[in-house]
Amino acid sequence: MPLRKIFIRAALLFWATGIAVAGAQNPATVFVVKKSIVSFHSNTKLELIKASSTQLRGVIDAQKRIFAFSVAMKTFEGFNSPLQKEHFNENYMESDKFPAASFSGHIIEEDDFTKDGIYSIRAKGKFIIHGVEQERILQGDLVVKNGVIKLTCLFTVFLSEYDIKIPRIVHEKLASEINVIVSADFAAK
Amino acid sequence: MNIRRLYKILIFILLPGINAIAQYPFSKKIDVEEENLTLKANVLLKDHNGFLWIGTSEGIFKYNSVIPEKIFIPGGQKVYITALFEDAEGTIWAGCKTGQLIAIKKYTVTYFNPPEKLPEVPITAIYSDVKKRLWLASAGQGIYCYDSSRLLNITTADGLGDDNINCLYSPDGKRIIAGTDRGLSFINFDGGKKSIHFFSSKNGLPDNIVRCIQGAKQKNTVWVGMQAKGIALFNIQTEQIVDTVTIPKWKYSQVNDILELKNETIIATEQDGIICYNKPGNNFTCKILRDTIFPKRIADLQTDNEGNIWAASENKLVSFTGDYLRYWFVVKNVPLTKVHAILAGDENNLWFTPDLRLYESAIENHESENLRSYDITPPKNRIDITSLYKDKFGFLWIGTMGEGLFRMNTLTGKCRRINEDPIAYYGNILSIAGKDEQVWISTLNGVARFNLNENNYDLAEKISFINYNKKDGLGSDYIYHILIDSKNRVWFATDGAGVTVFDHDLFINFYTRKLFPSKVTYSLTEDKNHHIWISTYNDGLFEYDEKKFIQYGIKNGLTDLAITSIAADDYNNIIAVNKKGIDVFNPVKNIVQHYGSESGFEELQPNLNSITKDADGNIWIGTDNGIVRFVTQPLFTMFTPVAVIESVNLFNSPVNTDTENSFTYDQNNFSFRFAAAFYKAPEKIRFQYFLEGYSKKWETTGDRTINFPQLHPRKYIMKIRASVNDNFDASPVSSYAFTIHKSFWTTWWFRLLVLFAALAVISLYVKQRVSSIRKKEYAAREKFQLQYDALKNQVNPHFLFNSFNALMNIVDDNPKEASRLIKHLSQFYRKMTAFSQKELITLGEELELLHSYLYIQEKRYGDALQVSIAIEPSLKKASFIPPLVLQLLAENAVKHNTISKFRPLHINIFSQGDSIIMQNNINIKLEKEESEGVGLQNIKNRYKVLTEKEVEQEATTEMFTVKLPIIYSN
Repeated sequence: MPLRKIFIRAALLFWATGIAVAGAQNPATVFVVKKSIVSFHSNTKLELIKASSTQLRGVIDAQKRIFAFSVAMKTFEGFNSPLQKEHFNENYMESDKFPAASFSGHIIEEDDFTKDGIYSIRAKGKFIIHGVEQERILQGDLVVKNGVIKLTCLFTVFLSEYDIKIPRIVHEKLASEINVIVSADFAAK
Repeated sequence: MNIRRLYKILIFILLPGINAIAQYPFSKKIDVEEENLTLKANVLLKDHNGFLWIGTSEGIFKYNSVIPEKIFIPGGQKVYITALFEDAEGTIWAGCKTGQLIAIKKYTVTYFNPPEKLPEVPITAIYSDVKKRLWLASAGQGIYCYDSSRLLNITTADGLGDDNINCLYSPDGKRIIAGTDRGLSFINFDGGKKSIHFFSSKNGLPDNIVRCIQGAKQKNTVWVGMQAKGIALFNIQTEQIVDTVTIPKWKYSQVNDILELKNETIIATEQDGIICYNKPGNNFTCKILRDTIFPKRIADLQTDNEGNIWAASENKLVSFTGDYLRYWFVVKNVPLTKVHAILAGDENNLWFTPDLRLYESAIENHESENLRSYDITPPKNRIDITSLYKDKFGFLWIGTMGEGLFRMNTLTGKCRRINEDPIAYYGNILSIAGKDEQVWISTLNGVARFNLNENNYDLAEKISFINYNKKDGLGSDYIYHILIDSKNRVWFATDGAGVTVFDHDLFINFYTRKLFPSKVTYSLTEDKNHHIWISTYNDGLFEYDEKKFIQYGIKNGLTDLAITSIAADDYNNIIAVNKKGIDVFNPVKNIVQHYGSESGFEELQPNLNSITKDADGNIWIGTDNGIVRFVTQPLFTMFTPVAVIESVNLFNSPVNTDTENSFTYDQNNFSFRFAAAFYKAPEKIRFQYFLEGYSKKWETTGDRTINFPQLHPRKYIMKIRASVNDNFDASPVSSYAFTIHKSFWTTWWFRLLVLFAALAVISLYVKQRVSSIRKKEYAAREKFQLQYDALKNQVNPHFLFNSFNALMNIVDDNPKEASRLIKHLSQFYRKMTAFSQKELITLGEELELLHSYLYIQEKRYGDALQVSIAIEPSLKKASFIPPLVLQLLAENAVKHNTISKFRPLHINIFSQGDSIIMQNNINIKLEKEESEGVGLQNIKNRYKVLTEKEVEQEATTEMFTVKLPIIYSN
């Protein structure tokens, strides 16, 4: 084959590959949850109820600044009794119907999380608990070091907003606002 | 204990914990209600008539100043309103949470349905630009632009910062600036080409989420309200944050709306109520509105036409006075109670005396460290200060109740009690006034005039003085107020002797001179025209124009005659303070604008003569519960609400006033509903209406509807106008012209038509009568004519002559024949006379007569005359004929034809069908006998009267035929 033809074909090949590569997600900007703790507590005069889960699943795309998180309700442990956990899943969360709580949306700040640093960001998105969707803006802190993003986020969930009814019998034991702490480590995919 | 006192106490208890409380507006709240529903007020709009619209979670309310009323939406379903906008044509656009868009025009409410789909997410803002394009901001689907036929969608793909748009703003009607979740997006859309760029945190925007954009007073700038970082000033020309404004750190919640006023910028927040940004002090203060317990979430702000600000908060509208009216009830933990004296100094500062102490503060910024208190009488330092004055040396004169007079060096704070004058030393000093070297003080024992000399820059130096009292011409010893006017005359407001003036060393008391009618006067002031104003105990206000005293009272609009202090503002209004509030009186326009309970004034209890005006022309008033600042403007008292005709109803159905104004006579029951926007005191609005064509004069009503039943058909114009101070002359008029047409039977043309018709009928009737009479007359005449003719025939000499001739020829030869002839002749004449009277005779009788006639003629003519008669015998009795007709016809035949042997005359008479025909051959006679010629015509005429059938004649060269219709017995 004449040289020119080879050269052209090679160039085309390279070009096509380049597109393919560029078209695929640049793995360096997508971070996935590697380690996590999601804990909540309800603090009333009569009782303190706590539980946590280490099974938070989540992904952040630092370039597009979008994220998605979800945690299965049945992975929460640490209640004051197994019965409490049962009530949690069957009566309040109705985990068979609504297995997971999720939060997805985009990050408002335009900082570059691929670079090391400490960032205070807001995440605006749709929070779904118990099948009910609410738009929320959550503030969180990101500490980025050596390609690992550590996220810390504290927020409050109002049970009434998610149609979670507290029977009168227990309403002094269960707070209407639940404090949640999310702590997660992300690393590149 | 009433609720208000409770609130006051609560606030006092909470005082120490509250940081930096500042000035308060007066406020009131309006509930936006729907039965048993809790609704949220989200967005406010003011339309071109000044009416407020409220978009809520349960629909749209129109607040036309009585109570908010819900607008009916087609389909009746609930709508959650998230945006409101009024375009140039007056259409109100309402955006919903579902993405739907409702257009509210004057008479119709419809859903807007473009061919392309509307967003499915909430519409957060609406704008209409100069090209009449409708812009819609959506929460998640970018911006939509409707260009009369197409709905375009602009998203991040087109260069928009984010698809979640929170607000829209346009500085010029052409360029659109959108506040998004990723900064500000600038959209230029010209001739189909879009050019979009955005400004986000990467460019220096403190926070990417821009919640609202509002115009700022500084040129080319806008206020940007953000989610977490408060407010920022942005220059839209350079597209940069204005960093000369070093706004302090924001520690409050999300900004929902911003409103910039003269002295401050109001910020509506999501969880902290109203935050006030004070520009001169460069700080934020949390404005807690006293009347509503700490409303946390303020969704939207809107000004009305009266300078007040409305805040949408949950299910209420809270209105508070704009910049023009503010009050302080505490300054830096010093409660402002019993402020008996107040004085604006010349260093932009204010002296005031709350709670028996003396303080001084910078006017613009009460929060700073500039609050100073002064010790007058240590150690207690509590004295009731009633009057303040700063003399030409800068020393402050302090008059007290019971502890005399003090002079203070404000720089050092050193104070000397004036003891030169015993009256001043022991007295109650009610008023201090001065000019240059003079300082006048008033007590309950007369007045004293102090004369300063150059030594008095030393505080310790005694001052020379003169005392004056009643005996000197003062009129009374009780002097409430002293005023030195621009002509250096000294005026005294006295108790018991009206007003006195000291001019050129003479006291002139107007009361004793009967020039001034009121005994007890409280306050004095001078206006820009150098007229002196006096307020009295119960006689209102007086104006002295150098010639006489003009009185003003309730009839001029003043709300209360018990006026505690007066001042003239910089615009020639007189501010009169009473326990109900503030009256702003404009004597030229003769109207009063009142600020009272509706503005929240009632608890204040202003103090006597505790009023001062600062260098900017602002009026400061000291009251028992705080200090009030009142800012007037030139057109202040001009405000009159604009009346509009809200709806017109015919019987009970609405009328479209744009298209319908022509009605029939039975559409005559009209109802009018009117409204005017005056939110300060809607119960004060009075309307006047004048129905041109019905009313004789303008009628005043407090109602908002008026009904006119049974209006007469004519042209009408309904005019209305509104006022809040009983002065309607300056009010603009709204009108609606319509016409009720007459029923057709009352119109002139109809009546005329009827008249003509009647005349026509009458004349027709008359004609008919006349014609029938004429016919009868004619018939009668004809009969007479015939009789006459017959009579003539009777004496036809020719016939007689010929008859006698014939007789003569035969009398000698044939006497028998002769006698027969004579017999026939006599029979003929007998019958003729007998029959000629009758109208009709039987055919038989006529034939007999004819027979007689013919006998005679035959005798004369012999064979030359041949007559044959062939009539059916039955007809002879059954049919009728006018008398002498056949005889006449026979006679005519004889007359007109030659009869000779060679050419005989044949006459045939026979019946044929309905007629009797008489025929004869024609032998034209050369010489004609005299004849009238009317015989045949006469016969014809006679028949005409008797029957419809006509007599027919036919003449050929050979034959002459006459056809007579048979007349049967009627």
